[in-house]
Amino acid sequence: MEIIVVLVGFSITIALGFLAAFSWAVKSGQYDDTYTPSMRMLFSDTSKTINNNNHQKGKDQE
Amino acid sequence: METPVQQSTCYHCGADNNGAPVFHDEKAFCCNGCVSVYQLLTESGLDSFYTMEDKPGVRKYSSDSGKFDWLDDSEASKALIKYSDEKQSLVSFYIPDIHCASCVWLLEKLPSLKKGIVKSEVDYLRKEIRVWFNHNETSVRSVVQMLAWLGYEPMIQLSDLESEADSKKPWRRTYLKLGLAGFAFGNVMLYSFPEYLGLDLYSEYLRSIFTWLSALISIPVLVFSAEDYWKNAWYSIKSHRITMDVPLTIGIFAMFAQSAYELISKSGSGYFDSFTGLIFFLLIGKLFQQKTYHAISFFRDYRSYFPMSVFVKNEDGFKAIPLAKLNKGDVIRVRNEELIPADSTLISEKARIDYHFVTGESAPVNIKKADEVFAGGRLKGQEAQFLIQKTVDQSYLTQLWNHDVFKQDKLTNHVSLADKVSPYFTWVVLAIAFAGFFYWQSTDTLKAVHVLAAVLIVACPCALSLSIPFTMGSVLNTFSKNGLYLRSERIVDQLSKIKTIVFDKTGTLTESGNLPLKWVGRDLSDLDIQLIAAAALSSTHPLSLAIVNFLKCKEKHVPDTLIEVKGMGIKAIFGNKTIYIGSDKWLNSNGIEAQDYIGNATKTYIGIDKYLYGAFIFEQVLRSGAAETIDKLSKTGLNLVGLSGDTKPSVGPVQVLFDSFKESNFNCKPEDKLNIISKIKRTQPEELVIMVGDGLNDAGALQAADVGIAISDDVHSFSPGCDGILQANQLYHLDSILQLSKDANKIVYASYTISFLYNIVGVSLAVTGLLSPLFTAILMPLSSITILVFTTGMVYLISIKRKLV
Repeated sequence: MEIIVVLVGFSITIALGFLAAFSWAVKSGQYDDTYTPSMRMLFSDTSKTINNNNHQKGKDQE
Repeated sequence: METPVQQSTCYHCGADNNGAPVFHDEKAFCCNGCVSVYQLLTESGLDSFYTMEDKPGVRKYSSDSGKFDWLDDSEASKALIKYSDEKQSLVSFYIPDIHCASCVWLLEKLPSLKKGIVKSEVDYLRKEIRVWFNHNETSVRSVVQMLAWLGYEPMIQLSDLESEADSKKPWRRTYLKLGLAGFAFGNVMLYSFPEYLGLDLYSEYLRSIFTWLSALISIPVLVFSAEDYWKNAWYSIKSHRITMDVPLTIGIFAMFAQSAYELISKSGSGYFDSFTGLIFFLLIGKLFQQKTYHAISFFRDYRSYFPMSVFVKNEDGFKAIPLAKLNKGDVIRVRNEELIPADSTLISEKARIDYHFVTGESAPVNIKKADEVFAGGRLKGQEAQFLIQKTVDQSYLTQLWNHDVFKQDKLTNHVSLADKVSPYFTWVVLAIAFAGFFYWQSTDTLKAVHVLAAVLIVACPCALSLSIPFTMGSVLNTFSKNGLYLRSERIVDQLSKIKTIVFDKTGTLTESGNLPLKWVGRDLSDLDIQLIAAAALSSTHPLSLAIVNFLKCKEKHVPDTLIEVKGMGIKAIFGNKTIYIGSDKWLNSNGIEAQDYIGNATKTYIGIDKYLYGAFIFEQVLRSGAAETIDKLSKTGLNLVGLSGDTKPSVGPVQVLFDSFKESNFNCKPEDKLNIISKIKRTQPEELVIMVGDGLNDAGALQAADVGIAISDDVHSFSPGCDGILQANQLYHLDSILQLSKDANKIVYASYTISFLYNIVGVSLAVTGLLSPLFTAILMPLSSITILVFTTGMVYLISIKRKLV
């Protein structure tokens, strides 16, 4: 049954990892505004940045 | 080049271009301002702005370049900067014009529109933008100018300069506390599983490891997650009061002490699971209750209304300076629709001022040179110059804020139900616990200590303290769905005890803004209408302007002769027709027989040639549902009182409504309103008063009343300091809202009864010494969940019954 001690050790390490991830998410402000990001993710990137990328690729090929 | 498609609306902002579009890129615009914004956006590759939503742009309001000059004042800009290091600064602004996804998109593209802006981020619900900029390359002023130029002019108020700190931070802490408590609850429950199931293979060695781990995980919960509870308990004991936090803290510490004892003596595995679970549920309740309404402020005073800067005359013209630097004797320039910031006298020949904010009187007044003007008046029409007589904080309107009622917070004196119950609860629990202790002490001292701890643990008012947060949280939620936003859950309790409701008239019961007109008299021919409009157009009197707006004539006639006598009327001659507009006396003096047949309503008579044709009556229109609401409220036995800044009307719907009131007062100045409320409170000290009002002129009364509710057409816009904001179109819900707040108290009583029953079961087991940790681990979450389901469910059911969902 001593193996359970090892398993508990693993489980608590993983759980602590999630706790740390949660605390990072809160501290970096991800819970401050839970509405605007839902709008933001629907914006497609502008044509200009796409053009720039194409431009860059063209240059690389030369 | 092809002929562009004829479009009557602007490609950028969607405004009507009045048949004179400006063309660019084969697209129609309303003005050059919109064209230049369009050009900038296409040049920066941001033209997909126009594909996102139909006519997403915002109309450019002002091209006034000097308007933000005052931001160059280093003090002013420093006050706006929230954070600054050697390279970057952060500013945040409230922008009322943010209204759709494309606004967010465009505003977050600021860095590609202007050099020096590093990052911009929009909070849509708060209508707020945060801009990080390099202060060596650009300045606060040019950021603001850029925003204004794009059509998103930030609303900067005096209070912005004084308020401090990021309001979001405390929320982060609550989330962290909840996260930690949830983590601990889950893990400790896992470690307690073998014990729940009574597994045999559970060796003494493993058991001590699990218990030690549980204890280790629970310590941060006690120290961090539960800090608000024991801190509050400590503060309330220090101020000799017993709030619900006191028995809660006693329970928590008893639980922890007993568990620690069991851990060290190896006699059991303690109550760590119940403890962490308890904190977890309490924090959920707290989060549920503490609803914040984004972008709604309940603490506005006059400073929120006033502009940030004024144009003051100096040697080389007018210069914008911060309002705080305005001195007596300065000459200021005020434009159409701007507020007059301080008491002053008029220098220009004439001006029209709307005192709606100050007096509630809806029609603008005309003033002439050297007349006195009060702060808070809004200039209508042509720009004018004023000589400042008093500084901002000494002015008539702002003096209201020096009144005593503004010096205290109403809620600090409020005793809630929980506060009333908790002293009794605490003493009863302590009495039972010590009775049990002394009973067992004679036979078994160890058992006596156990019983003491067990009673304190199981009587911990967890379910009790959840009753109010969950009930009030659901009630606030229902209210906000119906357009009422309260600043604290305590207001619900106050609302349920209301005996008197005081209504303001203008803007509350009646529609604010322009007075609608009604024509009473014989039918007018088209030509007559055109001539009346032409005659009225030549006068600046507010009533004449209202007539012009009402008649909406396109044809422009010019009178051959025009005579206007101040306070009497107009005589206009068009060829062989003569139009008279004015009072009955004016018509009489011109040889037309006319009597005052309308009565006390605001009206103006029309005579053509030798005959009286009729009159325009200015009617105040009640808000939809106002009459029905008043009727329903008076049937429930409440005292209704009406206040008005206007004179008493003798006819019309307003008069009928005011007649149904128990008491009504007219010609009230702001202090009169305040004094009337104070008088009602003095004569009936036990009975609570609500004031329902709008505008700055009601601010004193709103503050003096037990509950002040501001009526607002747009809850995000201006409303004076108050306890709640009710959307104007939801006024008809007022009676159901008051009913629901009464029901809310009943629900709280019912759930108190349920949790007392749980406590009786638990305590009776505890005093006999039969309480096991397993039983507590089941009982405590079960009682919490019962309360949670009961309160939210009941509020929902009653809301359906009251037709509030």
